[in-house]
Amino acid sequence: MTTQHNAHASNAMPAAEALSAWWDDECVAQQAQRIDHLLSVPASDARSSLRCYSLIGAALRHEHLDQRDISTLISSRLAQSAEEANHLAQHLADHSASERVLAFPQSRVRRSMNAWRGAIAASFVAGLVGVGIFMSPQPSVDRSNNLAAQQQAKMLAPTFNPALVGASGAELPVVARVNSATVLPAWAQTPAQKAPMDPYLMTHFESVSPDLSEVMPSLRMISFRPE
Amino acid sequence: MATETTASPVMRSVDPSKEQPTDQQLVLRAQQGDRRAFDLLVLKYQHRVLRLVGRFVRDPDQAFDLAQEAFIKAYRALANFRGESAFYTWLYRIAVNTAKNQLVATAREGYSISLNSGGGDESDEPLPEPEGLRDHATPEDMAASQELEQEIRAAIKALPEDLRTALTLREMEGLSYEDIAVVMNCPIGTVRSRIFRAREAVEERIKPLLD
Repeated sequence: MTTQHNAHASNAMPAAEALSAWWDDECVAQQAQRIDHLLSVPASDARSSLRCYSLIGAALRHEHLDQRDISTLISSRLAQSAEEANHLAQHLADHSASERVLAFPQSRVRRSMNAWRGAIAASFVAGLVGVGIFMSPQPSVDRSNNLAAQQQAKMLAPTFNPALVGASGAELPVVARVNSATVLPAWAQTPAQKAPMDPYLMTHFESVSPDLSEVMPSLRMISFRPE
Repeated sequence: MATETTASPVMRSVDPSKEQPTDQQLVLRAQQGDRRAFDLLVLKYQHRVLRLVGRFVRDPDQAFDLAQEAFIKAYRALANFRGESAFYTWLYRIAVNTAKNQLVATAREGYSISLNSGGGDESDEPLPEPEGLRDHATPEDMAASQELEQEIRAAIKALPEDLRTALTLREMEGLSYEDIAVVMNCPIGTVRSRIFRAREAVEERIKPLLD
């Protein structure tokens, strides 16, 4: 009978008694689920019991009796922040990776540089090209012409025959060997042509003093040209 | 009268290997994203945290906000809680730091206000009241609170001696059930039952005032 009574008591009591023990940090792990179940309903008796336990303790310790419940406010705030986080995650997932990067605030100088970026790049490239042209070496002489000229010079060069040198060591005349087969280019065969010049100008140029010779001609040329 | 268990004061009826602090279980669950577990922790410790921050700021509304802030901070930092100390110890530190930060901010604000309003400024605007003199409770609230306190004291006084002693040792002296069992020379189960019945009796009496 006593055993049955105890068993009945352990089944009937623990729900509320376990809550009291849980409040005092004296609850065991096996009762945790029961407590969880009891407190799962927001306006449950278990929650109001906890409120009473708090007031009883505060009254015994002569503390301020605060009846406000912050648990609902905190859970609503946490729910709201979780919702915002989910919303943000969804928003980020919807956008491409490039759009995810937030624009970093730029200075005014930086923004103006960005606006003129194309022009700056073009002028830089143009400058580089200009410097390259200026600094580049002169075009090399055609190698085939160069070789031909070398051969020709070799043939035209005076020859020295040691057998002709006398025992006395006297100097012998150097004879230039002319290759009759050599054909000069057309421009070398014709006599030099002088550009025809007005005899008046030539006379004038010679008579004008050297200091004014670079300035005067055009004026004089126009003024005294015969009609 | 409720049945009292007959276990020895030095022996708990639960296997110690299976016994875990329920806070730790709740923290583990909360760390895994169970917000209801954290809600239980808030339910359990909200009044303690309120009382704690109430020692730093006397404005009840500000204390209320600070307590909220402390819990929100705790929730966000829960992943860093490694269980090296009790959850309440950790929460206590967060609440104290939150309250101290608020005090520093208030002091800085007050300093800037005194600088701005000082120096012969003859404006009609009154200076802000020093911290601690403000009380937002209305006279009705204060009267209701006094009545509630008196009713609780009367209810405790009316309790049987063993129940009152167990409750007082727990609430005023902060003794564990085991220590109370030693003091009262009774099993731990009896202590648990007595404390529960004492609370239940007081609750029955003050319920009408709370509604």
